[in-house]
Amino acid sequence: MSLLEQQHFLAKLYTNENFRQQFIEEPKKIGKENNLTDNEIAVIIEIFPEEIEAFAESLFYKRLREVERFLPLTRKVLDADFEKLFRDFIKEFNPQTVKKHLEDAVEFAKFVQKNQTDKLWIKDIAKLEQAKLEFGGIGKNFIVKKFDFDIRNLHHNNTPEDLSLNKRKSVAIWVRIGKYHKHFIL
Amino acid sequence: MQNLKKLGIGIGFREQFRADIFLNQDKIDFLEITADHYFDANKSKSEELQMLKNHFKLIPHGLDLSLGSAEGIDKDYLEKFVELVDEVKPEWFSDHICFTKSNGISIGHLAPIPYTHEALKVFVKNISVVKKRINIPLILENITYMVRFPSSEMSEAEFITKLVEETDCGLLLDVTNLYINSRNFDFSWQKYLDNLPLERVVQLHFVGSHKHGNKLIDGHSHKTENEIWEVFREVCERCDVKGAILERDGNFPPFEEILEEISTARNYFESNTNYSYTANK
Repeated sequence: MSLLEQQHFLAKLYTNENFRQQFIEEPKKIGKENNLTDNEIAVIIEIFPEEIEAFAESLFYKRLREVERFLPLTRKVLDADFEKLFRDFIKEFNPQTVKKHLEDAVEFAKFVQKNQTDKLWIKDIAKLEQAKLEFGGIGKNFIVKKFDFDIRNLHHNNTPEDLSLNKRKSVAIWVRIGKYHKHFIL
Repeated sequence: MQNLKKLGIGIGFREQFRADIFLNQDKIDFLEITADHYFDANKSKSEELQMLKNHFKLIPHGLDLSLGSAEGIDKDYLEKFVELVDEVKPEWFSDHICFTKSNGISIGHLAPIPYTHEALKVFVKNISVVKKRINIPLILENITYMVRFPSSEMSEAEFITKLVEETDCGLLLDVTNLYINSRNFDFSWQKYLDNLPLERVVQLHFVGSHKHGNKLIDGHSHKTENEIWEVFREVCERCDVKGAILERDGNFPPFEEILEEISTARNYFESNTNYSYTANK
């Protein structure tokens, strides 16, 4: 097995939980499906499953911690659900740019908005943090977002004690022209 | 590598340290910046880089060159690195002995490679591509690993020795990573050092580790423990180290604790050097 083929297979094994479980349970079947020979399967099996699992978990937590840093309010309101949702999210998404943690955070904020159905105000918190990252981190010059809840307090305070939001339709706008940037909430 | 300037003791720059590093500029000899954070920089990151550059010597540290990738170097990433190095004009730059991407999948962190002759050839080829574009010394960092490859044909120390000798690179010896691997996989870090080309050690990384289950983890979020200081001290005694960086990424303590760690490192560093590196600032 060439190093190239081994790395292709390992990258998938490290980052895809379902694929990893399937391979650990049925290495020959999954190996054949991925065009590995018996010898190549044996080379991968030689790596202890518990080491692969431990490494994959460490990768998951490193990625999670970075995203938590970018989305502190979403992290706070989702609490333990943040990690659960993030596990689901990474099954679907792998960042491709050099700003991979930022890209992860923006896409995860969108994922939360799509998948968080119990408490609708949490969607607005994720949407607000997504917009801030797109404006401040990615560098978009113009963003308009509609909210169903009153986000005025959150917009100016990154670590408020009280994160419960009242119903109030609002629109937030971020604008950058040259050196100058402004944001408004209407 | 022997002709490189001694930079002294510094820290890995993190935004949380921004105010404190300027208040304590006289106690910090240089900063290591994460190169990736300044690629495609927006206005505030560009300004931050300028500000840091105006006050400190900077060393760019890459996370994603993926020097061990058998599919070769990501040319776009490399060009961004070239631009940053042109901007910062550092004494040297660094990345890791690992691969981080394959077949369009970003692994998200530093993945180990098997210590084989084939992997060595891959590194040599990739590093030659990098060196054609960046004409300052590249130093390579040892990583922690949780996965070992039974297919390896040599020890990690042998592999690193061949690698730095064939590519004429320096070593960024992460003493914490070395200590963690030695504990997790039950080997002697002293013997590991015996088998490294210590004359190629340019820079050190240090920080505390913590336990997760029965393994030590390089979480970069704890104070450097005595066992790691012991490795640090011995390396300073045996090598002509040019600089050392405290790599604290989380669980940030009051800055006084960071300064204490820098001071401890400086004591070991200075007791084994007769070179006035502060003159280089």
